[in-house]
Amino acid sequence: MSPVPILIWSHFKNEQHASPFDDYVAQGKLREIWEGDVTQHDIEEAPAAIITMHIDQNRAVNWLPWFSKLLDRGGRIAINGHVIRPYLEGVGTYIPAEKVGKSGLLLTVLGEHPIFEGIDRVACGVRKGVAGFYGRGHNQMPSGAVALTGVGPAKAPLDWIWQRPAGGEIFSHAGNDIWNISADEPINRRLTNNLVNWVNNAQSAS
Amino acid sequence: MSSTLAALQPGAYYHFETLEAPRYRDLFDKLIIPEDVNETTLAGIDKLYIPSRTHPKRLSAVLPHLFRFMEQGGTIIAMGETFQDKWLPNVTFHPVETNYWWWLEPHANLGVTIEKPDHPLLKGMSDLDVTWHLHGWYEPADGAQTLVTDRDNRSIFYIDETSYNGRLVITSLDPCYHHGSHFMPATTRFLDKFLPNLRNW
Repeated sequence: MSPVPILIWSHFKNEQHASPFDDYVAQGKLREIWEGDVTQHDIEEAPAAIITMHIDQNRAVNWLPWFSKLLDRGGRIAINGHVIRPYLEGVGTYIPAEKVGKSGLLLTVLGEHPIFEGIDRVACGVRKGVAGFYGRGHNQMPSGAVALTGVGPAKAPLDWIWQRPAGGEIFSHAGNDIWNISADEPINRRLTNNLVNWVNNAQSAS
Repeated sequence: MSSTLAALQPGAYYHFETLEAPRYRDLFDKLIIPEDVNETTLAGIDKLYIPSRTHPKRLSAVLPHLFRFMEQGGTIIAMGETFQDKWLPNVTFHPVETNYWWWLEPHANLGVTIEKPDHPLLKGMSDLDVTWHLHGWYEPADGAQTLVTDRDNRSIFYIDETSYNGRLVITSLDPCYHHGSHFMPATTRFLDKFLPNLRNW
């Protein structure tokens, strides 16, 4: 059986709530691994990885060379949350957006990407009239990365995509886990589906 | 002289922001990665702060050391969303559906009340400093002292000084993730007062 993309999760998942990824795991499109169980083999052999915002970055920083191998083979990695200890080569640390009143955290579409197909990002940026749940800053982009979603008047790159010169792609979303950013469940499901499709379309050499 | 305070460092970005950013880092004598908890790393520590969203599996794995720490007189402060009932005996927790948006309603009042305003852990704090949202309530252990209650007078913060030689502080308040994500100012107000109080307790 060929390896499938992995979802590395970290936090305690309340048994009362199903994971948004359950169906994809059942369909063989994704394998979930708790961070404490991750091995070098899991990462290096996976065609792609999704990483929760709750990841233990003291742990993940030790996986950096393994992630690089995944990417070198043409794999894809999607990260969520604020990078404090850079655990992917080239990805910089998080910078919070300047607080400039209510409009300070509004979103601007800067580029299209399959992960956002069918999604109104500007609408996602406001939940019950309050901006900020989607994200409030950015992880610093490597040279050559392309901004997809900006936050605040400065349009800081909250979402970006980077095609690594050495191979592979990194998608960074410096906010709450992207599969849970909307109050509207169909939007969350669409984003989840888009994300799972994106990692499953990685052109990874075996 | 204040006693020594250590914190577990589970490593999520909001733990870094709470434990290692300049705002609070000097309040902690030591940060310990959960898997490194043992008799040696806990030596000389009086109080151990377990921040919100430390996974129960990581705590269960080192539970004998945590018990020994409390039996030797140490204090453990287990914050909300560490799911204390999953790793500690004698903790009965009743989760509630969290309403994150209660404050948008007219004349909103979550109904959280400080019952022991003179307790050193809550010195200088008002009801607003413990009010952001609720995750659930406890049936406190026999003899435990409730410090904060919800609207229905149920305990959301108590101190158990009878089950162990030391002290066990249990709360469903979960400031760490929200403070560390740069939102919910009430959680920052809470930590601004609670952490120095804890340091001096």
